[in-house]
Amino acid sequence: MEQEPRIGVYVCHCGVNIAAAVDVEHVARAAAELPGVVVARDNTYMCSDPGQALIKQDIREHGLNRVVVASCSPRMHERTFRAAAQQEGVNPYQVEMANIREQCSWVHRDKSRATEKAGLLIASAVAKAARLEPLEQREVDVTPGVVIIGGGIAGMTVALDVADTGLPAYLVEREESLGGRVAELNRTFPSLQPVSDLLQPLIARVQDHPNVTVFLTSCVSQVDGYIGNFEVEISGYGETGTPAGGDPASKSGTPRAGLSVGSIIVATGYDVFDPQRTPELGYRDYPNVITSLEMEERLIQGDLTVDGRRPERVAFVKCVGSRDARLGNPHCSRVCCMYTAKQARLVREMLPEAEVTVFYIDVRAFSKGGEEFYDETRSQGVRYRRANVSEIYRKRSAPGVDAGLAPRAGAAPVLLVAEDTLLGQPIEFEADLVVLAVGMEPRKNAGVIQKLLKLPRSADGFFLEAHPKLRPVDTAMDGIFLAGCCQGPKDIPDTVAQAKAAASSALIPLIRGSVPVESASAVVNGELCAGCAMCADVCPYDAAALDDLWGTSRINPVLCKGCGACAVTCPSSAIHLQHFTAEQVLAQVDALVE
Amino acid sequence: MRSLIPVENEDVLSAIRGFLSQLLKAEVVDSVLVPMRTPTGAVTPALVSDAAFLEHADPLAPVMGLNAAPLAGRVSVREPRERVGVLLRPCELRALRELVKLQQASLDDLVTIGVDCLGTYDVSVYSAMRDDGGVDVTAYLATATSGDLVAAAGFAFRDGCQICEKPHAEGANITLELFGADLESGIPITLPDDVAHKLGLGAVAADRARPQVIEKVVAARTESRDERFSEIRERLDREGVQGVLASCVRCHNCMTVCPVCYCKTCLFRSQVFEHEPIQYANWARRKGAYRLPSDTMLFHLTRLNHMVLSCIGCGLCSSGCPADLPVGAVFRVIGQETQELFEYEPGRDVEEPLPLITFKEEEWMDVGEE
Amino acid sequence: MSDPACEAKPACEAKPACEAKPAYEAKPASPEPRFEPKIVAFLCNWCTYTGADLAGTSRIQYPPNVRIIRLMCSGSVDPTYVLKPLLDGADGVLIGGCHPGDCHYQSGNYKARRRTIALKEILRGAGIDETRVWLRWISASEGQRFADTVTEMTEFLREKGPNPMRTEWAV
Ligand SMILES: Cc1cc2nc3c(=O)[nH]c(=O)nc-3n(C[C@H](O)[C@H](O)[C@H](O)COP(=O)(O)OP(=O)(O)OC[C@H]3O[C@@H](n4cnc5c(N)ncnc54)[C@H](O)[C@@H]3O)c2cc1C
Ligand code: SF4
Ligand code: SF4
Ligand code: FES
Repeated sequence: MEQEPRIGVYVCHCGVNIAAAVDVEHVARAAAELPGVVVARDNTYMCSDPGQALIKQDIREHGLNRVVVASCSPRMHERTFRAAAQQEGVNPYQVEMANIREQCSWVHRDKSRATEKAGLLIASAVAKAARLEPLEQREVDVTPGVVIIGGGIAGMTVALDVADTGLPAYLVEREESLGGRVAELNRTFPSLQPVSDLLQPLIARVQDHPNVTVFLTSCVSQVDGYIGNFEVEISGYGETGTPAGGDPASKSGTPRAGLSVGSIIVATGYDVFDPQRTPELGYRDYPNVITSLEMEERLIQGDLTVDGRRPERVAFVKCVGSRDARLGNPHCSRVCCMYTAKQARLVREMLPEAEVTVFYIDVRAFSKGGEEFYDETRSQGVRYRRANVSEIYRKRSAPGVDAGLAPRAGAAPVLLVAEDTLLGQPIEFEADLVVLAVGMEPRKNAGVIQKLLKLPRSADGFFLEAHPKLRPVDTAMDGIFLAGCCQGPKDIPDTVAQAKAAASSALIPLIRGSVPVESASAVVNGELCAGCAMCADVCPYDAAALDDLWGTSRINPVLCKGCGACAVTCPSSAIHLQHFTAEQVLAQVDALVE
Repeated sequence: MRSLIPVENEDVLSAIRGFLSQLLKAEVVDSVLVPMRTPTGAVTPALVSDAAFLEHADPLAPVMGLNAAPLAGRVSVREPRERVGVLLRPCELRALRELVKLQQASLDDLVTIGVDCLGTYDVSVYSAMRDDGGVDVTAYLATATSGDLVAAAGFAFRDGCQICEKPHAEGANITLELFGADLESGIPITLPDDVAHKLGLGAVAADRARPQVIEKVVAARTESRDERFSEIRERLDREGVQGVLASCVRCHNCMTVCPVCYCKTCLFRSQVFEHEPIQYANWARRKGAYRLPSDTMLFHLTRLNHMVLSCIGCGLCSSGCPADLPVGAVFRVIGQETQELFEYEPGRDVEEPLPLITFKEEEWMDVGEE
Repeated sequence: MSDPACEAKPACEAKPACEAKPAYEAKPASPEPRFEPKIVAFLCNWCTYTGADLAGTSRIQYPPNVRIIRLMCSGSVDPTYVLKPLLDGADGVLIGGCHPGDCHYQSGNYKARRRTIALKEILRGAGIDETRVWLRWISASEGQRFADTVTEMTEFLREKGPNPMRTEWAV
């Protein structure tokens, strides 16, 4: 069924994302001249409803049988445009994308050269589109079940949502207990509710749930397969064999279980910044300079004394290890402003006579009720000073310090050197207790997970979501999702919200019972096949085999994953890989070498 | 077992014919595939099932117009089939082993009879020799005894033969060991004990001259090979393959006669390379001029890609080339370099896997990581 | 390209810094535009193509000389895909795949490795500059490595000059 190609080309501005670097009108006009192109347009947002409507309308009015969208990466919106075309009766496999954003406008500044390249990429896509054949979407069955890596608040939330649908959830936690960082906290902002109130019932539910299997002191050591059918190996964590000191690699201990699941969720959380990397702040030099996480512990114990003395002046220093490009952490950790307000409030409650001062760059009172909480904190007498703290030290002559023994001595006050950024003046401030509001960083073992699951990470080192706005819990790997702080700093409500989103995304294929699989399989032309069986030798899935009767090769489309190894190996070119045929690829080459 | 085929009246040819017909009569095989002389004097392979026809067999005719390996493949590749004895030169034996790996032949019901090769002539040269009074078989066979493999005065062996350093038959079921033998007193043969028994051949002490003569032959041929290789290498470096093979007329003869080119339809004869008329115009515009037929170097480079690792060096491609291009030498030079990379010797052993369908995880670890 | 001021100083090995100098542009004697190599890249969908996308989302700049064709796996790069552009005058061909052990189809990259090694040896043997063909393992998270590779390859080919096949018609 040869159809004369009737191609529509749609060049997206992506707001200014593409239009700023590529002359979109120009490339659309040029595309209109390409062989087979019936209509070529540019549009502000092709993925928007009006953008898609444009395609649909053209399909109806111009009888298009192929669509080329020049916009973002096909990894982003190929599905969107395939679905739009399909609604108007165009086979989804006759949609081709030209990646002129990720691979052009975002990486090239020279507008004339970026425009030229965009034109070539579109010509290449059109050349391929003209030769695309309709294919039928195929599906495979899914193994129910989800593996969740990380048993913090995010991981536990996912596990319960999955388990409540009746499907098995496997929760893998490397520590000896569940709870993650939240277990190290005292009370939460803005309600000041004790953490144990929310965490203990959650942990109990997880442990008692018949559909949740918890693996403690465990980690994932091997992952194979694809969305719908992953094979995950669980091993002991921290057993002998774990490299001492260094990154506790995931490959340690003995395998404990091999699981077959349909989806995987990463919920490995965050590490806090180690202020030893900012030696000017005196952390570890003076026992009365502590981190906010250590403060949480003291709050849990209800003991704020330093060397047995109640501090009279308590200072909080915000943004330690956050918003600091020098330290490689240009990002905002999002929770420090709020937890500092919380801790300051609790200090006021426990030490009503003490003077509590917060040194800040900005106050970003995120989350619902955040601003109100901050206002209330100030009204309760916590002093906020807009100042950059550049150094914390202790004077040798400070009271209670024996000359020569400084700076070790316990409770002696320290001096904060800062610049008051409102007054534009240098200031010095004495404090008996200093809390460094340390920010969030990617887990030190993120590289291990990255390799294991082939997950990209963004510049800040946290795992990269598939789309910052539209697919915030998806990853570049189908069937693998992100929950909680492993994707970036969050407070508990945001963590839980994302965990619930990840759970429902992960459940979609499981509830459908099948996932669409690679429809493009390899096909043998029996007339050309000489029966050498080289294709069978190279196929990693045993999909190709010689037919007993004819002695020529046959490929089982259910087993074939479309890698194309056989097609390349066959010298007779008797095999073509659908959707990536030699004819299509060589036509693309030809368009690009022009 | 090593034995000796008796030769009467110094007639080596009749002795071999007799041996072949004995194979048929003793039902060692159901038929034999041998070069036969046609009534007009041409030589062509034929499958012979009636021993009476073997009086036309001419296995010693020094002519090679095609490689018999694909024919051996044709009669053996799948069941049902008969047991066939097939007389093969060393390069044909090597080609056969490559074809077995490519599942284009099966050794299961073949009895391979290898014969040392004293050098062969192109079909046209051989015809000229016949017109000139025929080939002096006695003189030809004498070169086997001495190991001085020289062509008849005024004629030259095929290009491929002149640089063939593997003219001795190895690893066949039955081997006719001509090198170093005093053929007029008997043809040394190695064969399985049970076959010898059926043919009534007894063990004869080893003929000690063969290894030395092979050594001599190989040394001389290696020398001419290396000389030729460096000449071709120098040309390739200077002119590129597009220069060396510039006069290619795209007759595809090299591919047709190549014993290991096994595709049913060569890609280059398929629609893939029949482009749209406008396409040629575009290409011409791109470079200013465009060679037609199109894709000639792509054809040679692709054939190199497909076949060079399996090139067993029979040189028939050169023999078949109407433009007299050194296709075979080019293949052998590039083949030697590429085969060395993969430590692969085509035609050595049917168990040796083809390099491009296997891999090791830990090899060339630096490739791709720079 | 041959700015004598540049070549005098060894520190100018790093070409871009030199070219950025206004002195270079001010020179009226070099009206010839800089040679811009054409690179055709075949990237596997799972690693290198995604890595190239990451370079985009991270806004890492690299020369626009590369033109990408998406394939499913480096193991599906047919030698013809490399030969055709080279003979047609492309200046370079880049094959990008997953690092060993990471191929989405288990072993495609191992096969690609052998195939590319064989192909390059054949090209070298045939007197065609095989250094124009690059095979690189670049993972989905190596956006920077992708950008660096393209930059490096562009510079390398610029140094080398145009593929003679651009004008060689008798192929
Ligand atoms: C000082 C401080 C105070 C805070 N106070 C508040 C507050 O009052 N209110 C609020 O809303 N938020 C607060 N937060 C933020 C809160 O801690 C986070 O929102 C929350 O912990 C995120 O949960 P998570 O599950 O994503 O990560 P985590 O809590 O980090 O949990 C991750 C879990 O994964 C496990 N894990 C990691 N790697 C692996 C692996 N490879 N294999 C198996 N398991 C692994 C870890 O052991 C851990 O149990 C505070 C943060 C700090 C630093
Ligand atoms: S590799 Fe090609 S010729 Fe060989 S069996 Fe497979 S399809 Fe047939
Ligand atoms: S495309 Fe890959 S999976 Fe499919 S038959 Fe060929 S080698 Fe096997
Ligand atoms: S999928 Fe990337 S190399 Fe095979």
